Parts: sequence; structure tokens; C-alpha cells
Amino acid sequence: MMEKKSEAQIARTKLLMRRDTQSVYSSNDLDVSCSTLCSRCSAIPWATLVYEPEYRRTRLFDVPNPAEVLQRSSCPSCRIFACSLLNLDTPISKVAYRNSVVEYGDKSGKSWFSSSLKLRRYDRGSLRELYGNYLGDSASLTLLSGIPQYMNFVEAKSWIQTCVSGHEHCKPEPSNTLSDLKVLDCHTRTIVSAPESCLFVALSYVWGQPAPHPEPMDVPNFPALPCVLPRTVGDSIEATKMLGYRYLWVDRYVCCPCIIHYTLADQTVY
Amino acid sequence: MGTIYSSAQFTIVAAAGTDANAGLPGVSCAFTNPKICSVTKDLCLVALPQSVTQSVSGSAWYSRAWTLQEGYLSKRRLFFVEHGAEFICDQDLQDKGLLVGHVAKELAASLPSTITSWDRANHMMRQFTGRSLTYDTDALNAIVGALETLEGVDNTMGVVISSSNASKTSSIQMALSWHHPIPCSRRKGFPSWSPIGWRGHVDYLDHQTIISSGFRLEVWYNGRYRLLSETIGRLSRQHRANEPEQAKFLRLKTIVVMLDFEDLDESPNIPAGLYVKIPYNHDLTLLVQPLWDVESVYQTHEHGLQLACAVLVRRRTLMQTTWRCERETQIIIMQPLGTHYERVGCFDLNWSYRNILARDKQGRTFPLDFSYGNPLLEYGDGTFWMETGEERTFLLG
Repeated sequence: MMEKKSEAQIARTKLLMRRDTQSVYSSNDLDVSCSTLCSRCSAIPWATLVYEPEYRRTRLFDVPNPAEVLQRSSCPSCRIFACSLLNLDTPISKVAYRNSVVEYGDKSGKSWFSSSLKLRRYDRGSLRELYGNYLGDSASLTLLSGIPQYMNFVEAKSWIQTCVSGHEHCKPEPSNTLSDLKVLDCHTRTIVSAPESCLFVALSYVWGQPAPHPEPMDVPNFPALPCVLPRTVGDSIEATKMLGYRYLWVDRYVCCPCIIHYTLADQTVY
Repeated sequence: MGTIYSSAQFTIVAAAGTDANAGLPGVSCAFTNPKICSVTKDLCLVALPQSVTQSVSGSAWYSRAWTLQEGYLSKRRLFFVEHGAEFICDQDLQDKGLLVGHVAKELAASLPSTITSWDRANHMMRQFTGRSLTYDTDALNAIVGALETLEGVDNTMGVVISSSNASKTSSIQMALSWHHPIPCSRRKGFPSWSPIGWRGHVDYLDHQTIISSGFRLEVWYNGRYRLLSETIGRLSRQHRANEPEQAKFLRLKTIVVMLDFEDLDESPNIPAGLYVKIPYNHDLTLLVQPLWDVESVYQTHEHGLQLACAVLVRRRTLMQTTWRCERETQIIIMQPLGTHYERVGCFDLNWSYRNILARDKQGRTFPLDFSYGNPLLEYGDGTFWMETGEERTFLLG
């Protein structure tokens, strides 16, 4: 998680900062309160940090011993530092800020840049830039306002559609060649024989610890599914429907004959 | 099983959590929010999440053996991790520009790419053997579906075979040059000459076993043992049928040498361990630390151990005629088991490869330093030890 900051990155950060000031969003859009910082974190000269010349290293704080203290702190800033610090192999003793990045130092004086911690203006434009890579554009907005973020199926559908309509290379093998294919009908929640040229979705997942004996409620009363499905299977049924498909293939419920499936040390249980 | 994934419109990869009750983040529960807190009125401290593909690489899904094939065979994949989702199709993987820095290295190594079938197969076996498998009986089924999709290579018991017509005489190579960096235990029901016959992570040596003249390698196909050249292209199909017990054996005709093994205690410049003694010439005996497959050799035989060693690769590159050592000799150490042998370790005589000790007539043992060329050159071509061997035909199980 450490990186040397490249020239390009520095340039990009500068660009980002400049754009921030022109942002159409004002910080007033978001309900921000910083009254919860502890004495250690409120002593940090946050406001002036971003204006320091690049070469200057500003000390932020000395890491308490043990560093786990940060994790248990009621201060949100401490906890963010903790999750980054405690993941490292080396014990960190000093935290500083230089070249627009957080820098860690150990006892011997060695230092590293943190690639995961950033200090940013609290406006949508700059944060979207940060998170956009990971969550898609629309996600970052709701995310930052603290609203729980759910899968954007409209967006996911468009990813799939782009591939289906444009990528010859990604065409699945015809399903007709599969003899006796059973699939899960997500609309009726039953196990059915796959219709001709069935377009189905597959699930790849881990079952977890194999139970020595299957629990009774776990065994499907063919062709109906068990009443209680593992959450991953239930969610996959939802996702399949939301993405515009009807049939889902889940090894545990469609390998035939279903009951024998449980009596064997079968490959479908990971 | 594998064909299901290549026929699916896309595959939902549930890479969050460690079991089937983890759910798909973003569906019945929200994605985890990245950590963020305001430090002044208009500044905030943010902890960036890992990329989705980085998180996949660290997931339980990625650590399991079966899922390697499932992800590999799918043409389109929708990955779900705790903090997000990402779609990756085969076209994305072909597009190198998109791949660099986009898909985490580890995950990319387990998905289709543009590298050759031979390299891909060996990468795949390396990955596969590093993953966890609940049921030993699945060892072949969990990978063979993916191996079969590779063009231009065949495999038997997960060991890849390819023929190249690059040179005038077409040569056949078989991926038998693997070893275990850490000794492990046998996986019953599968042959010792295949990585799937073991419960441990394998690595491959640079060169591969070339089936050259003077070395005969036969595999079981359709009722009898046949030369690889007669069966290549048809072997993997055998897996789908209920293959007979004989298919688990290779029939080899090559030089077998009985070599002594010696336990050395730790001393300055000499790491402790069980060494194989190779009589190099009349004056010098070499002591080489083999790469053991099994842990048990250490415990069961402490003194006076002698094991059969088969010379597997006998290729000498012309460029190396002045380099008088058998640089490309790979030797597998075997233990007899009833009617056949099983492999228990291997070593090669590629001098630059690992620490080699020498013992002179006076009984002094010292490490050989190869950093300034090969100090053994003055002692002849290093094939002296093979003179004590004899050509044998035997089964390797």
C-alpha cells in the first residue's frame, strides 16, 4: 500500500486542487462537522497543510504505543489513520504530511508515502474524482452524503449490454450442447429443465465449511427450492432478475439428481 | 461442470465474505462505505478502498481451487466485493491497455490472456496447486475443464504436453519439470508425476522435459502404453471416460542410477539437510540438496539411504558443447512401491541453480562457488556418475 509519489501524480494532484476551487458545489451542500476530533487530531494544522510548499514536511503526530489505541479512539480521524497504519508490516512511529500526501516514518528514520490516505476538499467534485475509479460516477455522490450505497443495476446492465452487442470474442458457447441442463427459474423459484437456447447466468461462490450432514431445510424438495436459501444464492436470484435474466445456474440446486448430490462428497461443496 | 461457465451469459462472482451466507454486497445489504471524516470545515481525510480486483485477489473466493476454473471459463464476469462491483469480459482481458493497472496482477494471472497455451497451462497449475481444495477426489475435475480449452496443448492427469514443429524434427515436451518449494503430502488416487498427485504448491523449472532420443516415455491410451507422439491430442478426452488404473502410470525407458543420500549437520557455509551424493569423478564427490516432494524421507531413513534416481531430461544444447556439464539433466528421485515407482523429489545439475557442495578424496567438504564460472570444468564432463546406472524400463505411478 506504499508508493513513491511520481511526478505525474503530483501534477495530477495539483490539477485536482485547482479544479476544486472552481467547483460548482460548495461545502455547504454537505452537513459537515469537525467538532468530534480528539486533542491529538485537532492540534494538526489541517487548514494550512494543503498550502505548504511541496518540499516541506509537516509533522502530524507521533503514533501512540501501542498503535491499536488509535483504533479504539472515539475520534474518526484516529480510526482512519489506524486502519491504514495497522495494515503495514512495519511499526510506524511518526505520521507526517509532505508533497500532498500522508507520509509514515519508522524509528530508524525510514519513510513511506501512504497510497490509501488522502486529504481532500470536502466537495463533490474532488471526491468524485477520488472514488470514481472504484464505484462509478453516480455512486460517489450518494456515498459521500452517507446514504447507504446499493448496486446500480441500470449501470451494470449497460456494462453487460456493451459486451453482448460489441464483443464477438466474449460470446458464450451455445447452451444446447449441455445435456440435461437444469437451471433455477428466478421468477417461480423452482428448478426447471433449461428451455431451448436458454440464456442463463452462472454463480461462482464459496460454500464455506462443508457440513457433515446437510440440514433438512437445506435440501430442495424438487422442483421447489428450499424455503431458506443461503444469502448469496438469494441475492444472486435478485441480481439475475434485476439484470434482465430469468435463469440462474447454482451448482448446489441444479446438479442432478439433486438428492444424491448431498450424499456424495461432491465437488460442488467447496 | 466447466462447460456450464463457458455457456453462461455471464457469471456472478460472489467474492465478499467466506461462505454462502455472505450475500452479494449492494443487493440485500449496502456496499461498505469508504472511510471518510471531515477535519476542518472544508477538508476531509479519506481512506481509499482497494480496487475491486485487488479485493477479489485477497478474497476467500480467490483462494479456492474450484473457482479458478469457474472464473477462467466464464466469458463475462460480474465481481462483487464488500465495497463495489466490477464487470470484466474476455475482450477486456485481450485489451492490454485496459488491463495494465486496471485488473490486479493476481486476478489477471487467473484469467485468460494472450500468453501462449503452454505458459498459460503451467501458470494455471502453479496457481491451482496453491489453492485449497476440500475433497481430494476433485483434484483433476476442478482444473481439467480449463486446461482443455487451451489450444494446441494436450494433457494427461493435468500434466501438459505439447509438440512443436519449430525445428526440423518435431519435438514433444511434457511439463514434468516441476518441484515443490515446500515438501508436502501425497494426494491419493492421482499419480506422483503430476502436481495434482500432491497437496502442495508447485513451481516450474525454466526448461521442460523434452522427449528426446534415448529416452522413451509412454502413456496409457486405448488399451496399451503408447508413445506420446501417437497419442497427443487425444489424451485429455480420456479424462471424461472412466479411465483405467493403467492411465495413472507412465512407462519410462531411461537410465536409472542408485544414489546414496547423506544427512549433513549444520556447519559454517553448509546448511543441514539430506543430500544426494553424486560421484563426479575419481577425485570428487558432489553433494546436492534435492527439492523434496515428501517430508517423510527425512524421518524414515536417517542413515544408509539409497534411492533409485531416473534421468529424465537428456537434452544437450549444441551451444553448450564447450560447457561440459549436463546442464539440462533433471533427475527424479524415486521410491519403489510394489510393481512401480513413485517420485519423492528431484534435483537438477544446473550448476548455477543452487548450493552444491563438494567432497574431495581427503573427506573435506566445502561449498562450490559458481559465481566466477564453473570450477568443475577442469574435472571433466560430469557424466561419470551415470556410468554406474543402467537403462531400465519401469512404471512411474
